[in-house]
Amino acid sequence: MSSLPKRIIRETERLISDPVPGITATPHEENLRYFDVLLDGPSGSPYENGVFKLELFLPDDYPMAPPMVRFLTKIYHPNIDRLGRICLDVLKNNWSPALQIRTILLSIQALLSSPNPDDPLANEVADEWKNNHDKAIQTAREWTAQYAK
Amino acid sequence: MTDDDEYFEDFSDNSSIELSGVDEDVLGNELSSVDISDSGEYEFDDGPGNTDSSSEILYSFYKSRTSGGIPTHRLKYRNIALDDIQKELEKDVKKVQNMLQLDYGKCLNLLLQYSWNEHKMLDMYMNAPNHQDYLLKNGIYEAKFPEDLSRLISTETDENILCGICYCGPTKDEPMNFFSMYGCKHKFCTDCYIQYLKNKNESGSMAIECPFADPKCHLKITIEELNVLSEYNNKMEEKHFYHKKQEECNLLSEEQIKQMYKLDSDSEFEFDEQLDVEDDFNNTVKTKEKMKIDELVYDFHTIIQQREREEIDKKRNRTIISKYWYNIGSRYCTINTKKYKHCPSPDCDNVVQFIGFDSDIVANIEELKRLLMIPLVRCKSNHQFCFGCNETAHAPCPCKVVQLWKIKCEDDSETLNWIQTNTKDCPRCHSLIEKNGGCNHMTCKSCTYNFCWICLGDWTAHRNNYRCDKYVPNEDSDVSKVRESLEKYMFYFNHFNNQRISHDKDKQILEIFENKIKELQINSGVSWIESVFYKECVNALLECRESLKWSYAFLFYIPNCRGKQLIETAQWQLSNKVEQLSRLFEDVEIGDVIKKKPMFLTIKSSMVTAQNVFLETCIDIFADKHTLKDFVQRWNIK
Repeated sequence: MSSLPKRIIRETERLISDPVPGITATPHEENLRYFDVLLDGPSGSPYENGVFKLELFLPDDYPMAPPMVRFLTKIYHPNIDRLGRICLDVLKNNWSPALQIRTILLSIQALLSSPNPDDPLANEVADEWKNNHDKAIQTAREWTAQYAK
Repeated sequence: MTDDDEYFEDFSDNSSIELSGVDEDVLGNELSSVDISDSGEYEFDDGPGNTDSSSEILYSFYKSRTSGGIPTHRLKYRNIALDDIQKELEKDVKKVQNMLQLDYGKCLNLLLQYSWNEHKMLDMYMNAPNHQDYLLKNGIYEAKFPEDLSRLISTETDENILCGICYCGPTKDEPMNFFSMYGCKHKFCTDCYIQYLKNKNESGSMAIECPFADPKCHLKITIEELNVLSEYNNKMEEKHFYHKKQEECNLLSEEQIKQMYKLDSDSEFEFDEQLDVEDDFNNTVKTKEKMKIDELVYDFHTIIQQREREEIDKKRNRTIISKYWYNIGSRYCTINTKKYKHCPSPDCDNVVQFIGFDSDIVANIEELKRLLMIPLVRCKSNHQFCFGCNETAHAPCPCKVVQLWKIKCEDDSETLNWIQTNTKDCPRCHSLIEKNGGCNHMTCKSCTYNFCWICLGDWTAHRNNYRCDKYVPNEDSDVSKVRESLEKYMFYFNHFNNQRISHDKDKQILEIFENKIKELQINSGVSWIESVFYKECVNALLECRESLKWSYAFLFYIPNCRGKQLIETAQWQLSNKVEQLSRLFEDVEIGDVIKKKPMFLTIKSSMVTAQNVFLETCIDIFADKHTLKDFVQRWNIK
């Protein structure tokens, strides 16, 4: 592995020594820029009791460019599409180099608690979310039980 | 708006002089065409170094009236650089600054926030209950900047300080420089701050916020603060450069240098190599020298252009500030597309500024479009494009018709192509039949007619003979209406496409030309001046091909009438000349190019004349108001 910026080393160290409750991020041994992430569904949301698997990659120009994050576990959410891509401002325009892996993962967890169907990525899910809210929540719960084990 | 009015007044005198000049020309000699490429050359001669060239007013059509007496409602424009826009914008900012009594950069940020809508911005500002809150909401800290902003950069030795981006901190022995904005005091090390700004610049964003994220700081950096970092960065880069130079000097011992020179025995020719001169000619020194001069003269043109480009590029990218202004300027152009247009040509940064029309009837571009006129302009690098729709030149096809045509092509061309290549009509009932493999014995599903796929004849004639040698006759009278309209479309589409392909092929000639002409100079010692006509001819040819291409789209929409016949005649004459020139290009031997120069020039000028006549004929068809009205109604042009 070519030299890793100090910043990434420090962040990784802190993620391991001082983990955020409900979130674990482990770097791959052969590529320290690639992380396996496990995220607990926040309580009070339809994703409660689910454990979601994500992948996170720090591009070459990190922290100037945002990390790339994707859900690997199937999830029913208006801002996450079938491929697990996430529509979240801090992952795009509102990224700031002062943000960290930790804060980004917390933002994603927050997105699970409060979906934003007005700015959807998965249109059908968003429609259902707005027009048939109870059923959408029900589906999200079922998917969580089925896939996020 | 008052500024605009002044503009018009300023140039009104000028324009009338220009106008009368052109008219005289037209009256004096009907055939004398204002040669397009000549005017391009003129621009070039006048271009670099001449400060007046930027204020020269240009026109979208070469005549104010066609020979038929129809006004062409020309658009007046100027070629400008992005720097000129910056100057204008700076004036705007100063004006706002005088009113609000805020720092310059803060006014600039406010204007950026409101997309240069000064009135709206002032309105919001004046109506805000609390100015301070209002400014803060827009990422601006109200308190005035101190005289010396360089103190925003501080050298730290405190080990408790950590840069929130690179996670590095200073030690007592290794101090680090930190920067923070005047209004928020969020410190990051200068290296990271500069990198952050450069990244933001690269992505073209303006009004860059402080990177601090917990909680998000929405303060926007001002141009004054940018300047502090930009200058610091320049100094650092200079230092770095100097250090590197010095290191390089120290690294080489005298002996090493000697060795290097020995290894490189051709070092005398190092300079020549730069100019791409091949050394292995057995010519005498004299011809070699002459060659070198010719080479220099030839390359002068390209080299100067290239250097200018590089210079501009460097200037723009050299400092954070200049790149920032560049972004502001180009954004301003995209906001004010009525007044400014970026040249759509790839890698071209030139801007065309709209000045007005030499017409009493037309007030804006939309009206001009409704009259089916085409506001063709040329950028400083002689790229022709349409000011109305920002497409490459599409005369004689009006903008709206281009739109129609494009939609039609998108909708139909794929399907039609497929139908054309994969299906045939049943010879009896004319239903479309696709042959999806198998033998040539077809049975129509709708009428159960048995026929041969190859000759479309009755299968009974083939019973004992599976080979079909019959000549395929043209389909006659009984073609269905759908097929007919398809065929009409296919006819024009194919011609359109052919011209496009020919255009691309001719374009390759231009590239081969570069090499050919270089060879020519080396072999025969012809100077650049003498051979420049070749390039002009290629350019003229390419433009005529474009005209021809679009003429087919145009003709598709023109109903059958006398005007159409006239256009077709003019088109035929133009395409004759185009083919003639194109053939000449293909046939000519490199050695004969100079000998054939008069021939090239004769054909070229007659081609350009034909092009002008053709374009005028196309304009003339709408001279009759009814034709125009019918046309507009028929195709529902708004």
